[in-house]
Amino acid sequence: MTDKFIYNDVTISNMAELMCELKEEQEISQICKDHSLNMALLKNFFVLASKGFNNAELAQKLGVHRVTVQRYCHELRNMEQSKHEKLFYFALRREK
Amino acid sequence: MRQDVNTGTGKTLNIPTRMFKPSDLSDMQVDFVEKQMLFNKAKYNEQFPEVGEETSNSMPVINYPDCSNVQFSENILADVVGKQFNASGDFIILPYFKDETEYDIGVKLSLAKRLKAQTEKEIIMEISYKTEKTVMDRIVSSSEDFDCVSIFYGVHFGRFPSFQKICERIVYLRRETGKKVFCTGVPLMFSEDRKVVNSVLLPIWDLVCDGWVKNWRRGGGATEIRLIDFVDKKNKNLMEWLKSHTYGEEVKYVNVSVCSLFQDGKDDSQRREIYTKMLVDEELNEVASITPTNMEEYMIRRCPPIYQTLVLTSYIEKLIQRNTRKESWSIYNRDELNLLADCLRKTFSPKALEKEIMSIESMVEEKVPVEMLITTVNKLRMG
Repeated sequence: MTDKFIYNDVTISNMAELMCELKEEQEISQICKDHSLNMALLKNFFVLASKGFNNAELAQKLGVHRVTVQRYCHELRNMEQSKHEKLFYFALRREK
Repeated sequence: MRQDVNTGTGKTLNIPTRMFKPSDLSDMQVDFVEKQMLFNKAKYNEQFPEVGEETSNSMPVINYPDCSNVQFSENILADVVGKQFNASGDFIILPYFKDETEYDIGVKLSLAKRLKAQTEKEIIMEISYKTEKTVMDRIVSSSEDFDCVSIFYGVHFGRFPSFQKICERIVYLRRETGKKVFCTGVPLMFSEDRKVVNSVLLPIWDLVCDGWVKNWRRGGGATEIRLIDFVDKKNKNLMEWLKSHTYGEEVKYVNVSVCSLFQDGKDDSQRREIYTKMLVDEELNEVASITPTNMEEYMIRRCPPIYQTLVLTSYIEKLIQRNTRKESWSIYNRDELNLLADCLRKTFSPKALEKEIMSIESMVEEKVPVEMLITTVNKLRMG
């Protein structure tokens, strides 16, 4: 059976998947808002941190204050484990 | 909407770029910031400060002779250009002089032409944000002789009339020359409306130009302690803070109460300084991560209404020029591209414009005539 397009790239079969993605995105942006984190910066932060760069190198690559990098580390350390994991996997999935 | 470009000397630059002064780097506690510019400023009659090897390898360097307080003279111009020519920077700037005339700009243009043939460094032509239209036309007609334009703003507090002038010039020069447009000496604080009483943090330079450096002159000392509120980014005194915060509320970044942040001790003033730096850093990060998709949301949330049209117009022009001047679009001649750009300019939403450009991108690869592209854009707009 051929798939029906509902709107732009939304079809009947991928609609549920897209809605889940949207919900996840809203959840992530709420976590970022609660902890004063910038989603775009956080994504690059995770990608570079997973490559083993230290705070100074992260600041040089991201173009931010070294204290900002320290703040991000501090926020992520003190965050609930589940939220931290959500952010991490969301950021890395986006990067791929 | 960020992109990597190569400088004439082979370094990579990520635009829009913030030009960091050496003092900015030491404030940020880093030695360099990758793919961003180093703004190595000196007074016109002084030598440029030494730049470390690690820094100059990682950042394109602009040695900037500050002539904004000196009257134009051919000798001074030759001297400051000669110094840049021999120094190890990646650009040569023909700087703005105090109250420069059309004749002075003519001399700078003829020097740019001679320099262009002699060096691989990129030539930057700098003018004032007040430059007249006739002079701008002359700059446009000589645009083959330089690689970038820089507009000198030189104020520490932005107001609507001057911001309107600089935006008009940015859009005009970008549209007519297609060159990168930088802004020097820009403010981060703007008056919220036409009165000067209320000020707001508005570092929107990444959205309107391709590179910027904050003004290096200090403003007059304030008579009372004022701080930018982290919620609405407005500059307020203690009484104004207490309208939206409680006395003992903890302020983020410094983890002290509102009350103690406004005390007059030495530690408190250091805390205020750290707080402001952190806040500005966060705001700059937010602006740097803006894309055409979330641009309008940011404008509505953060930008005072009187500035919105100017910022949006500059951003849209940037989007149009970035795409229509791509290598793959060079199959069309200048007149055809101008027709297409005029059609795209009728869309006043960056998100919708991006969608329109994406929809005709594949048609460009198939070398579809420009009339067809215009028809497709119009159809899309009609829904």
